Amino acid sequence: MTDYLQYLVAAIQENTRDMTGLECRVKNRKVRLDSSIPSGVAVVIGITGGKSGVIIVSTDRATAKNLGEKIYFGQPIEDEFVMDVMAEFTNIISGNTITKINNCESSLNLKIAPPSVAKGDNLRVLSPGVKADIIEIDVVVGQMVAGIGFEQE
Amino acid sequence: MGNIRILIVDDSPFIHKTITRALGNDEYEICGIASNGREGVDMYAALKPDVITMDITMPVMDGLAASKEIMMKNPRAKIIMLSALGDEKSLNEAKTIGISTFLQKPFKNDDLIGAIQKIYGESC
Repeated sequence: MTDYLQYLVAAIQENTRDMTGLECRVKNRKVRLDSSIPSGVAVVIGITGGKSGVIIVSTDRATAKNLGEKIYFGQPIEDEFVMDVMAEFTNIISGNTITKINNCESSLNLKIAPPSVAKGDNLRVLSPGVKADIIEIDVVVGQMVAGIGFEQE
Repeated sequence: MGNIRILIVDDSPFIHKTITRALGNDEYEICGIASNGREGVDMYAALKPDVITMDITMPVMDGLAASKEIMMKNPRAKIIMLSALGDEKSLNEAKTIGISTFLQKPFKNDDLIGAIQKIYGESC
């Protein structure tokens, strides 16, 4: 696992615990030359600064809804709002990941862009030239796929 | 003490609802919600809120640029920076603009209320 992926995993575990009260466990890790993730809801956050890259969090619709309702104080929420909650959840995870990276490698001075959200069947999120470390994560309410990647130099 | 009037500047509808819910009593009034920094600057001028909660990463204009513009027009503006980014450089950038109150997301309701009370108290 690269250092960057470790920061992402730590941010996912901390923020999932803080925001939902749920623990998560890392299952599998893959390295891909693209960052394609087939799933129901995908949130993509661009990384800018000393390096360009992306952070992606993706999950099926049922898990997104379960997580969204846990995050929104256990209340039922509409499908459209699920997307908003997942966007902010990923934004927080990404911000915390980048904070950890910047605090260790301040010369990078990384920033994040506002989230882009996609939903649909057989989603493929492609970032040409980005080599992404992808992990599968088990949460009590379902599974997430998350990845961080930077443009290859 | 009357109602404390709050302007929320954040691109996330989830954060709009979360802050509105956290401040849901007679002591606070959400006087406006802006979805980017440009809207925030314009709404600040129109609404003259007591306190602004300001995200950093937003489309159109980010929170640091918006805060700079607001502080140039009113150096006594009360801005709470509320962001997922919490690294030293981002904090220092905010401090340079004159923002001393910073909460990292995800925030606890009590921390938000404490920050609002503290920053509002400084202006009384």
